Amino acid sequence: MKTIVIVGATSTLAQAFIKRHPAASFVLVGRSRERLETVASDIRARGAQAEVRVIDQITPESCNALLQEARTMMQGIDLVMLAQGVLIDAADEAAQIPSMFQANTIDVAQWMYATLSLFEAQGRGKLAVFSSVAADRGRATNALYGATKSAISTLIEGLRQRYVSSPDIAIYDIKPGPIDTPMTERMRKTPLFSTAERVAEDVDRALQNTPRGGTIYTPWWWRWIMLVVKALPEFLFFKMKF
Amino acid sequence: MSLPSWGNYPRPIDQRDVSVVWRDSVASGLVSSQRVLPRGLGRSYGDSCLLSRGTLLDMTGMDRVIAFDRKTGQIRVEAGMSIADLLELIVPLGWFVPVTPGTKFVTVGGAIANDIHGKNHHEAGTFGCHVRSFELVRSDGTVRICSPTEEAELFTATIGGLGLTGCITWAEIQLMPISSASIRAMYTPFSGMQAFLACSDRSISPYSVAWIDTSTKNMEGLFIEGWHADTGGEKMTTKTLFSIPVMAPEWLLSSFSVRIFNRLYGMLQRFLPRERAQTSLNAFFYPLDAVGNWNRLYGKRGFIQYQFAVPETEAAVIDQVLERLREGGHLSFLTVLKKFGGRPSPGWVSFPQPGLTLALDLPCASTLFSLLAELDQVILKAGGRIYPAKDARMSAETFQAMYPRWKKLEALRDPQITSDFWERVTKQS
Repeated sequence: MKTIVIVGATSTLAQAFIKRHPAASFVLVGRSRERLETVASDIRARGAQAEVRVIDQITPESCNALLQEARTMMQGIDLVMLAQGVLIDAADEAAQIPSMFQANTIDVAQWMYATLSLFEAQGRGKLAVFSSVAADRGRATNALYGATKSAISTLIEGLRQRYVSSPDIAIYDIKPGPIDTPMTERMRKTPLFSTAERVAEDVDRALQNTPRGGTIYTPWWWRWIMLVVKALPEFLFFKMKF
Repeated sequence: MSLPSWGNYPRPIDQRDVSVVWRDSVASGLVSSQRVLPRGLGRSYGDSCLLSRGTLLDMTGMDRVIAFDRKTGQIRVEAGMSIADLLELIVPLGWFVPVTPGTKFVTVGGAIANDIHGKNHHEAGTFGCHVRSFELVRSDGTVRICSPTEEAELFTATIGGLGLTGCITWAEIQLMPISSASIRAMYTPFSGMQAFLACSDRSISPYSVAWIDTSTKNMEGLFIEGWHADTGGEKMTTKTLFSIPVMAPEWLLSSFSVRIFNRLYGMLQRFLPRERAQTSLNAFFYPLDAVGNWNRLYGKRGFIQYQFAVPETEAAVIDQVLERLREGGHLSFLTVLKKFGGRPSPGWVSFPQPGLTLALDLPCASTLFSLLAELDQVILKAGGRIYPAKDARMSAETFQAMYPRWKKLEALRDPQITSDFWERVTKQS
């Protein structure tokens, strides 16, 4: 039985991923016990095992303690997925700088370090982190969000290099395009919007097919779009309307 | 872009929507606007799922199982869960929904609110007959657990209550055991009302329905019956074969193409074997679900689904309706005739009643509305009624005469909740 720890388990992306694994054993981590229990009862009814852990203060100690407990409880952890995150309107940006960086960057980074030290101790493990295509290039419409995500992607790249000689420890930088979720409810939907189910399917496939980790663009076309966008010189990029 | 109804007619004016994903945020959703309406997958054809100058609460994100007893088949699910998602979970475990409509893309909350029926109505009654209990959140902040013994009035009002009594957050239903994911189906050609009635009376199958070709004078049709097979079947899928990507041009479904399609379908069915031992659940119950957004075939004008029921003694009304529509040049792409059973519908505004029901898909046209208004009166006089979930046009007087108990529902309606349908049919003349 696969053993999975999901942080931010009530996010739409996490829920879509969880539903695909009715035979797994989960530890679901988040802030709201009631909502975590809602997700847990659903996956239990589908045949999986699920435990719920509420965590308010994210510190190296609290992350380590929770992961240690999960490891003991499930006899090892196969996958840790970090799926928490917030997105706010560009209008409120200045007031939201501390909370955005806290949720999207600092908390995630702490979970990553705690996870990797546990993986070192157990000698193996997969760490999947939700970043975003917004991390690839700063854009006027979501500059702050992009910055919080690009810090995470840079951190993942560095840590992947650090663990390059540990073939059983794999880190995944998941970069979805915009997805139709409550988080993007007020955004205008373009044909490039994808669904959480599609992203979950792509993540599953990548976790299977690339055992050494890597950067996952989902849906796949974003790899090629972002390749072009990243290569655009600034005088062209600044003229673009997206 | 505001969420349309399935028939794309009428269109709401100044309608917004907000999604409700968690049970603990339903109450705040209900008071987010002065005028709200819970919405499922929007498969109601007319305006019962629309609210002009108001806010729809999109419930489809609330789609989780709360508890499932695999031994007894009792399941409690959130109201936004679709029948499609439910079947994916329960069919491989040997269970099926007690009543299913002709599409699996409806939510459990919507199935209760419209007290839907299926091909097994003559045995099982409506969906509401199988609901054990549900939770209702009202805009005054109260949370009511409703069942036949607890809050019984509100329970009755909510079944077939068109979403007006509050927001259903979860429901507990009794599933039905099956021993395979296959249907043994039988297809019998017939012509004429008497032949249809003879088929219905002879049939002992739990599921039965008739498809008819409205372009023919003598009601050529196919009596389709089925029962759950003992063995066989594949896993339930919710995949569609293909989707209609954009609104089709309006000439596509002309009386000519509808005539050709129905003739070809009728001919094809005569070539196929009459008994088909291994029909999939999807092919038997949900043939149209294979085509995503099939409603777009009707184009921007939209279409009306005209469904009514009359007592069996008034079977001649069905012939009369078909004839009047044919004379007026209004051909129905898909026409379905069924004999309802005697099991009473629990709701005050539930549609099914003993007798015959006919459902027609009619492209909107200027001459259609006056003709349907005339036919409404024929149906009313025959002791019949029109299905609110599919209606976009009947007059307030007609509705109130067909559903005299509407006032009881109005009395228990949540003051913040209404719909374009409800405002239209409760207008005082």
